[in-house]
Amino acid sequence: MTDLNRREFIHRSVKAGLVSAGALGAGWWLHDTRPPALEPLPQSLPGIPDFSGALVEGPAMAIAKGTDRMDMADRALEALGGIRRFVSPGHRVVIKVNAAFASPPAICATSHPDLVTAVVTACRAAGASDVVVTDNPINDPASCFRLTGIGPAAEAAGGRVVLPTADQFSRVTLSGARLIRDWPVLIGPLADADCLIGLAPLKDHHRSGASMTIKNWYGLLGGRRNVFHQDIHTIITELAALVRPTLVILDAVTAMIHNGPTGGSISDLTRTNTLVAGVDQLAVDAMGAELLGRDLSQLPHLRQSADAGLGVLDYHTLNPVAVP
Amino acid sequence: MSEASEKFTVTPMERWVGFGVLLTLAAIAFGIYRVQFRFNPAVTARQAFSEPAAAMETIALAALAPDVIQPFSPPEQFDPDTLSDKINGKAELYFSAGFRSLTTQRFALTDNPALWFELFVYDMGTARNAFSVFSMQRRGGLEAGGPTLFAYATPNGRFLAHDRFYLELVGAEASEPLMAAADAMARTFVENIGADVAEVTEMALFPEEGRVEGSRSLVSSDAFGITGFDQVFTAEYQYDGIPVTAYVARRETAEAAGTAARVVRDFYLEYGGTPLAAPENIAVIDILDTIEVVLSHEQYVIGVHEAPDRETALGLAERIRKRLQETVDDRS
Repeated sequence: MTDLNRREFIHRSVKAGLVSAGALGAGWWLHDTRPPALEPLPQSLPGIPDFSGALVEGPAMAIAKGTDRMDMADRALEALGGIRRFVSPGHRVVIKVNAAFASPPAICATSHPDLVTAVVTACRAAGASDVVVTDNPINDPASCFRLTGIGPAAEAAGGRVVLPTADQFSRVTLSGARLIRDWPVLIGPLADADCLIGLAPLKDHHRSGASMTIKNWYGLLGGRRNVFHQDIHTIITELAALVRPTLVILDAVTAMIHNGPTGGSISDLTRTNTLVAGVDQLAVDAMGAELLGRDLSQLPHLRQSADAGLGVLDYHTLNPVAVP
Repeated sequence: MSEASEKFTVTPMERWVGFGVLLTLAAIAFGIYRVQFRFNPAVTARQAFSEPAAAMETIALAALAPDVIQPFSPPEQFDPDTLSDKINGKAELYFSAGFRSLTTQRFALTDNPALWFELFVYDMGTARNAFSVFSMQRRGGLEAGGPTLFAYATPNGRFLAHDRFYLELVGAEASEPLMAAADAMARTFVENIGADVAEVTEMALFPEEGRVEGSRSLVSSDAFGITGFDQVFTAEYQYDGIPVTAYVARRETAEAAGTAARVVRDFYLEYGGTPLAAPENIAVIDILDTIEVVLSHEQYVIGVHEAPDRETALGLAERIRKRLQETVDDRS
């Protein structure tokens, strides 16, 4: 090979430059600056407000025994310091129920209407100006709230059922999250709320091992959320970080120990006669796992949430108040 | 060599470098081409409001309803793309068993509309698949005199497998009149479908002695947590009050059965099992103070899971192998 002379060098450089410029120009010309078509949604919000802060000091967890959910809820709330510890006059309260399926209350696949009645009534008695009961169910929302009995119970107790509509979803990105990134979340009812309460039944779950208070926030997600089932424990852990509630109540009066999350038969249920209320959702779920007979190896999201500093796994350290 | 040709002469090194650059560019282009089809689902997410299921074979459930009930809601249909819109977290159980479609409708007693049940008709494609989802969710024993061979009743439900269908009739309450109507509807459905031509031959290989009634099941995928160990029939046995699981899985060839048996053996060894002395071509493994036995015979994998001792495990496995040999001999 001969050495390049100056003329040849300039000649080749010009050709290479033209090719590069052509490629860049073609790229610029073909570049589509518009994102893929999206559902019309409001702009992204930074996330769900943290409802766990600014609580009056008091017990972190109460465990009520019995069979009457309304009575048990009253006693558990009283043991935590009373509903006024959480709800002040004029507060706007959002109660996130599990209304996932249009199934009857007898099979306990959804929040029990008696528990909804008790909590809505308590919030109203504490002076709440508005008590919203909401969820983004899997089945038709109107049918879910009606057939589960949640809708009639909430309204009879002075609550207001808010069914999900497209304008109530906003795209949310959880900082550092792998899955909740620019994802539609039912944030509308929460936007100007003062208090968020989660009411979840204790259930077996085919994918995640158990469905408890943290998994209940799955119902705030919109979009094709079933894609998250491929990484169910990560999404539950991220939900524990995304949603910081004021209070959660786990209904284990009759726990679905088989065939969850839908169940279908009364024989899928077992009576544990327990209702757990607390301000640390991870601690409440840790006790729920015990009631369901699951160990931590079967519920990796509990360990992951604890490792992420999202709550207390050893709920005994919170000295839960036992309500006989 | 002329001056012109000399100008464009390249060394072998330059040529290989040139090829390398071109290959790298081609790989990048291919990568971009592939990635552009993998959108983040969030980007294309739509709201979780169900869209109508794609048109599919329609089962007119209302036509099967006895006089005492009437439709309480319109029929709904779901396909593999929309099943999660109905049963969400349990959909994967059906997908792994070959789910094709689901038709549902609610019916209420005419004289008491507060009492209603929902009928779920899953089309699983084959009788084996239908039996699989039936057995995986079974609550208690089979119902004597039920509308099909595989049927059971609970206080508020009726559950049965017939031909390629799995049916659930889920009542709002444990009501006798409601369940009587559900029974009538299930029977009509079965009569309309006709004879069940299910061939679940592996079930016959489990000896009756010691077997728990109504315990035979078909695990569609990943039996005992072993990835890829699919289409495994199981049956529960009781030995002095201790439960033991026996299993049988058929493969296309004897070689495939042998391979599957080795996969099972290696799984338990990998998880800390200790091999024990065993007859030829049989693996006996002690793991967590229970005994696993696995072997292959002809096209079948035969095994015993979590037996209390070696003799019990080997004895049960041998009884299954003997039953299999008798079946093979009968056919020949």
